[in-house]
Amino acid sequence: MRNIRFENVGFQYSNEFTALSNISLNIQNGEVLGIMGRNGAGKSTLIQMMNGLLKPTEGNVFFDGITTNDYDASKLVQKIGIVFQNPEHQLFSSTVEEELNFSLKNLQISKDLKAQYKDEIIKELNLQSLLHKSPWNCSGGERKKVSLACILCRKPEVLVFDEPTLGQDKSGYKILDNIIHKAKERKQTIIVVTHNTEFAYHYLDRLVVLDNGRILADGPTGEILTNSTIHENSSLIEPQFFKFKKKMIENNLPDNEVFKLIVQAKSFNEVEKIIQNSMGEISQ
Amino acid sequence: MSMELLSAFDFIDRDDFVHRLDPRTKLFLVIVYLTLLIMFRQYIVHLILLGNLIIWILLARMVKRVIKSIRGMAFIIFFIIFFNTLFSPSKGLNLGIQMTLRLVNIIMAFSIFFQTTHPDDLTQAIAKMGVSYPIAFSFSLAFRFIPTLANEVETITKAQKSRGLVLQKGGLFQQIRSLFPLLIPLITNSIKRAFYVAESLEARSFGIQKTRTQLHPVRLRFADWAIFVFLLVLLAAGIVAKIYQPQLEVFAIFTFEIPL
Amino acid sequence: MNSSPSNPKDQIITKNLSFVYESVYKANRDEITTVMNKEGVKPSDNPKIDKFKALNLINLSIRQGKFIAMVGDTGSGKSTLVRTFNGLIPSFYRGIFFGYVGVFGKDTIQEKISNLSRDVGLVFQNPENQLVAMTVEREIAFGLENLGVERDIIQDKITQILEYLGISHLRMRHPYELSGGEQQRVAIASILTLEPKVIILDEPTASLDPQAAESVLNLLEKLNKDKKITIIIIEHRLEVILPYCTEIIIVQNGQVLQHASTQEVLNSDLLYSTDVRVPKYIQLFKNLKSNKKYSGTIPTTIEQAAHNIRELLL
Repeated sequence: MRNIRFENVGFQYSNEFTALSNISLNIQNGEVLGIMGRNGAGKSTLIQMMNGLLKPTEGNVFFDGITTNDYDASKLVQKIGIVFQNPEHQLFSSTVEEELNFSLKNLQISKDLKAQYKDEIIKELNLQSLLHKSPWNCSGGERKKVSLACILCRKPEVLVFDEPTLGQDKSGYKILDNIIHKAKERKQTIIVVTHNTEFAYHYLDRLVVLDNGRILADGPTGEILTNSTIHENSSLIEPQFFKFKKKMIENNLPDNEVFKLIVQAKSFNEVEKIIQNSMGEISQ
Repeated sequence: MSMELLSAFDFIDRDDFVHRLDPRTKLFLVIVYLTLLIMFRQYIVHLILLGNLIIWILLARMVKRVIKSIRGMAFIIFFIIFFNTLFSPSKGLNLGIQMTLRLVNIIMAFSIFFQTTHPDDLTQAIAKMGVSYPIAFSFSLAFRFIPTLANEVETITKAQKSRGLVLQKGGLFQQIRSLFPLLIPLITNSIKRAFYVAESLEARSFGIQKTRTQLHPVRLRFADWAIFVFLLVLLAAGIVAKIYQPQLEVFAIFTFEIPL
Repeated sequence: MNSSPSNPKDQIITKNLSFVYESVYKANRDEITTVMNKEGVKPSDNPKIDKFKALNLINLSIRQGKFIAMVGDTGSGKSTLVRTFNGLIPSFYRGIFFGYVGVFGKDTIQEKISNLSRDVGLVFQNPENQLVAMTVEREIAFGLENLGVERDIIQDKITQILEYLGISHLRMRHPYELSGGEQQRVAIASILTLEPKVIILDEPTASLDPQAAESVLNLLEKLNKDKKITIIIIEHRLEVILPYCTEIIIVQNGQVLQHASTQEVLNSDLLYSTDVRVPKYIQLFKNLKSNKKYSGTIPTTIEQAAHNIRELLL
C-alpha cells in the first residue's frame, strides 16, 4: 500500500553517462527517509525516478505495485510530490496567488476542492501577506516558502524534498520543521535528499547513502551516521553532537558524576541543562 | 533523429590538419560552397563538390560522425525524393536527388566548419575581420553556455511537471501556452546569469583596451593561403562555367540526368 | 571596531555609505522627490527614505590580512555591500550613492571597476555563472589577456596557479564538466592571476557537498596565511565558517549591526537577535555565560567545545 520499490534499477543518460546502477530499494508507507551522498552520486536522479519524471533504463520502479512506466504521468506526479531545490526554476507568474492557482490547475478535482486546498495552504504557511506580491519581489526565504506551497497544496501522498535546508535561516527552518512534523502526524512517507547530517540526525529515521550511482549503505540513521568509513566515501560530516561526544570521552575519562551524565545525554539541550543544574554561579 | 543531426554541428576538440586551419579559411569554404550550390543543380557539380568534401572529412577524421548525421537526415532525404517523384513523375526523381545532394553538401560543409572550429578561434577570426572584440566574444559566450542552458531547460521542465504542468496536450494554442512556465523561468534565469557574467567580465577588465593578448592566436599560414587560392579557383571555374555553359558542348556533361 | 590611526592605503573604508538602487528609485520616484523637496534635507539624512535604501549609513574599516565572515538575514544587503568594494556599485549598478568608499586609498566613485578589481576580487555563489571560457586554461588566462600581458608570462602564471590550487589535471577541461568544488577553484584561480589584495566570496559553499566545502575553505585559509590576502566570506552557516574567521560583520536591514572579533560577536547578544542560525554547541555556551555558569571563551569548533566543557568540569 503506497510503497515505493526499486527493483534492480539502472539509469543511463543519452550521453551514455550511467547515473544509477543496481538500485534495489523498498520504501514502506509512512517511512521518513533520507538520501545522502556526494554531489553527482545520483541522488536527484533517484528521486526523479520515483514520480516518473525519469523512467529506468534498466529494471523497474513500482509505486503501489504498479510500474512507473504504466502509470499516467500526471497522476503519479500528483501522488509523489517533489519540491525542487531552486525556486527560481519554477516561479513565472505575476503574483504568488497565481502560482498557487497554476499548481492546482491540472488536478483532477472539483473547483470547490481546489479552492479549499488553496485556503488551507495559505493558512498553513502564512501566505496571506504574500498573495498579491510578485514572486520576483519576494525575498529568498519567501520564494522557498512559495515553492513549498506549490507542491504541498496539491496534497501529495508522498513528500519528497531536494535539499530543503539550503539557504534557510531560522524562520525558514521553523517552517520546514513544522511541515515535517505535520506530515509525520499524518503518517505520510517523507523522503529528503540532503547533505545536512544535523538535519538527518534530527528528523530522519533511515538513511540511504549513494556513491557513484550505487547504494553504499542503507539503514537506521544512528548506525549510518556513526560509521566513519561511510562518511569518507560519501562526503558526509559527522553530526555535531556525535563529534562532541566522541571528543568528550577521548583520552582519560574523568571520574566525575556530571561528566557521566553528559556522556549519556542525547542532545546539546540536555547537556546544557545538566551543566546549568550542576554548576553554581561563577563570580565574574 | 534531430539530435543526431544537431550533433553534426558540435565542436570536437582534435588536432589535425583541418582543425589547425584558420577559421576564416573554413568560413570561405562554406561561402564558396553556398555560392556554387545555388548556382548549379547538375549532378556532376554536386558530385565534384561532394568529392572535395569527402577529402576534408577524411582529413578531419570525421567519417563516423558524418555517417551518423546522414542517418539523422534519412527521413528528410526520403521525404524530398518521395514527394518530388510523386508530384512530377518525369522530372521529379532527378529533382529530388539533386535537392538531396545540395542539402547533403551544405550540411557537410557547415558541419566541417563547426566541428573543426573552436568557438574562441571563431571569435578571434570575426574580430580580425573588423567586428569589435566584445561583440565577437558574445558568440563564444553563447557556445560556452549551451550545455548550461540545455541542463537548465531540463531542470525547469521537471520542476514544473512536478507542479502539474502538462505538455503536448490539447490544441496548438494550448500547447504553446503550456510552454510559458518553461520559457519564463528560463528567460529570467538567463537574464540574471547575464548580469553575473557581465560582472565577471567587468571585474577582469574586459574590453578595457583594444589590443588584448590571445593565449592561442589564430594565424593564416601557408596551408590557409593554399586552400584559399584553391577555393578561389573553384569559384572562378564555377562562374566561368555558368556564363559559358550554353555555348560549350564540352559542358554537356553538366546536364547528365537519370533517364526515366 | 576601534581603529587606531592606521593608513587608509591599507584598508577598505566606508564612511556614511548609503545606496538606493536605480530600479527602486524609479519605482518610487514621486515619493522620494517629494520628501527631498519638502524637507529640504539631504536624502541621506532623511529617515523617510530609509525604506528604499539597500545600504543605510554604513561605516566600516576593514584592515588588510583578515579572514572575515559577513553574516546576516537573506536580503539584508550583504551582496550589495560587497559590490561597493570593487566599484560595481555605483559604476555598473546605478543608483543614488551617498557617502564614501575608499579601497586602499582609491575612491570608488572616481576609479574604474577594472582598476578596483586589481585589488578586490569577487567570486559568486554559483561559479558556473562566472566561468566564461571553454577550457580552464582559457578561463584563468582571461583577465591577463584583457590586460594585454604577454603570452609567455600568461602561460607561466597559469601553470603556477594551477599547481598552487592543485588543479593542474583540469587544465583542458570544459567548466561545465567540472564538479562544483572544482569550478569554485577555477573561479578563484581566475582572479588570483590579477593578484588581488582582497578576495570576497558570496556563499561559496552553498552548492558544494561538505567535503568540497571544507576543501575550499582550507584553500582560502592557505591564501590568507601564505599570501596575506584578506578573505571576506558571505556565509549563513556559522558552523562552516567559524573555525576560520577572526572577525565577523553582521549586516541587517542595510546596516552594519556589529563588526568585531569572533569572540566579541559570539559573546554579545546582537548575533542571537538576528535570523542567523547559531549552532547549538555555541548557543549552549552563550546561555551558560548569560546564567553566569561559565566565564571562558566561547568555542568556535566542536573540539574546542568539548575541551572547554572538560576544563569547566574539572
